[in-house]
Amino acid sequence: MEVLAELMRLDVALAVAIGAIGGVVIGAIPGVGPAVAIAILLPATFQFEPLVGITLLLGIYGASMFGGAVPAILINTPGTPVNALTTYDGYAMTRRGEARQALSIAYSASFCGGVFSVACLLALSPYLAKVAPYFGSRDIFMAALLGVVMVILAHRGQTVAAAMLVSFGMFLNTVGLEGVRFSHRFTFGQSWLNSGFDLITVILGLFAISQAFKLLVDRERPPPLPAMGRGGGAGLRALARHPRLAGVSSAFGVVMGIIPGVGEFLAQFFSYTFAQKTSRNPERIGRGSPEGLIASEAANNAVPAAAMIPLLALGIPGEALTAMMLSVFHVHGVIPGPKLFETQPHFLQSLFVVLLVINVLVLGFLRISTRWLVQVVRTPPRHLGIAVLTLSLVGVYSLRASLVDCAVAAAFGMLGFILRRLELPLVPIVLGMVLGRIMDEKFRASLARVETPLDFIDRPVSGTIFAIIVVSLLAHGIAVVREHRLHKARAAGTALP
Amino acid sequence: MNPPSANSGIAAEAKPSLFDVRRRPGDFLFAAASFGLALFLLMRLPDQTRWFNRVDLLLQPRFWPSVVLGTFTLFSGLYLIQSWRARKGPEHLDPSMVPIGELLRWVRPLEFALYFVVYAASIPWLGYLLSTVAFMPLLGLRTGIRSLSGLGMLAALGVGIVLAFKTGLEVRMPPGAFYELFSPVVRNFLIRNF
Repeated sequence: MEVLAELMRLDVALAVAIGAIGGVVIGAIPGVGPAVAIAILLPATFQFEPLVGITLLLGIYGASMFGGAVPAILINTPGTPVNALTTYDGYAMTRRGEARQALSIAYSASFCGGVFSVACLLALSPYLAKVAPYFGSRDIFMAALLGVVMVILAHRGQTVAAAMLVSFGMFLNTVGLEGVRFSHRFTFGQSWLNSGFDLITVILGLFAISQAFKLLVDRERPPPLPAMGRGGGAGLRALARHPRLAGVSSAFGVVMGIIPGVGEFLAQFFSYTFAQKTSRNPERIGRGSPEGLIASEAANNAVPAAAMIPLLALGIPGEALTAMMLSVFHVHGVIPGPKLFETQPHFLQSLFVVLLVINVLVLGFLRISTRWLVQVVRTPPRHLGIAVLTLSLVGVYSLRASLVDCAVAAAFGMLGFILRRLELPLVPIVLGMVLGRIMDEKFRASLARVETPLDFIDRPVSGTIFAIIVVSLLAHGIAVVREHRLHKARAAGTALP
Repeated sequence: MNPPSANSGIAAEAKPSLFDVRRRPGDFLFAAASFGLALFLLMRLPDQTRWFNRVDLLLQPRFWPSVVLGTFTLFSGLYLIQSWRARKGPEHLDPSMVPIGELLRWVRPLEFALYFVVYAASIPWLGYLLSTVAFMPLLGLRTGIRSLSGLGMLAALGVGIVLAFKTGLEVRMPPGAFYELFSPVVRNFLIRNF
């Protein structure tokens, strides 16, 4: 009853509605995406109650992936980066005149993934409440290390670059006055560096301002909208035909969401591979198959709720968006971690129910608004760039009214722009900053109980996490060697078995 | 990881892969710059961090930056080697070490970065409302929007942003010195809402 009373509050209900609808619209605009929107809104939510602020951001996070499917399907441009796989089957269906069918399948699969993920969160939370208190400093240190390793390995083909950027992010976190002996680190005598690099300023620069620069410099024209066709009820029929695929894809989303640093891309990769292996017509996957669409969208949308698990239970964000949410928790004195389940169970239950409501609301909104939503897809990039740059100032300037912060954000905007040009990932820098801070703190906190390096892994939890790290690194090593051999064989022109 | 660019002709014929990696022009230069930065920071480690006598190595303020910078140097070095070796490979789109055209593209947003800082600097003088309503159409003009309706829409959007964030959400923005020109009642109203 207490949870329901919380949800009936006007401010919470408004946050749910604005977050869900706003998230869909933001997701549908190519070039904005949830990271930009959350980065901009973050400082504005600091004055809200934790439930209201987090609800608003969660709404944007979860709903944007629903919306991101719209431009992916209609104009072959993913609204959010994680909708990239949706373009393969979705746009191919659009070219066959089946845009409305494709949208319907994407909405239904997204809903399935979202609800499945929340159900898992609800089912797991009692166990999390029991297990989480067993996590000590060494275990959290190991979990953060796992996050670092996973975020590097998840950038397959770019692991070295990702490792470099994670370490750069970790370095950024060391700048300023350290908190134990209060000595300066890498301030170069500059007083503005004493407090280090603010996470939100860096995030706004890397994600929002760099995106604004890209939109202002590139000035691409949005392509015309295709014919929509018929088949608005195709989604439910497709799900009824492929329940196993929808379930397994959602499960991949949940598992990949729980592992820090992995997220949507690997979830999609596994679910898409599963769809290819189990389909009766595997040759059609990637060429306009409803199965491909179900696999990518169900997996995507199962991640946001699952990504809250390591954040809430251990205080470890799995990707950039939950890293941003972590700062909202901290601002309100709600410290995610093992004790949260004991001290604020109602808050957590309300959050879980809010996630469920967001999914229902988004599906309902999409069912009635698609014909208007498709127009949003065609917002001119220049207008968007100007709006994003103007909104970014709200985020940066409202923190401390500091011109230096604005200059720092602009500098990170330049760095983000260059990284985008080079097609290098931005997320490792942010996760390096967040996970680096956790590792630094927990490492020092563990030292009182550690005499030899082996003491770090002599606990059941830290030992298990260490084993996962070793196995992941070994598996990656084997995959790299195999790819290298394949590459050499291809270069030599030999046919491989 | 970066998804493949959806506009680059994936279409229906291409084989789906999430892990296509291309080396863009300027990759080698970026790798060299990163390695240079890592080396510079590593060399400055002794004078930019402190060492305390009779304090355990692992508790030294220098310890964690050393670990992090060591990792940064190692991986930026590896990335540089990787980029050097891949220069003539099929995944490298431009083998030249200093692609001038790409470098010029990298610095193009500097102009917008400058406008952004000027916009921020103007707020304590003109106030949030006036700065925003001026900034958006001016940037529109600079980016080639000429129609009155387009510029008017940007100005209206500016008003909307100020109303949403300052008036509605009450985010902290400094009042403009310009507001001092008004009577106390109007000034208070302006400070509170715009």
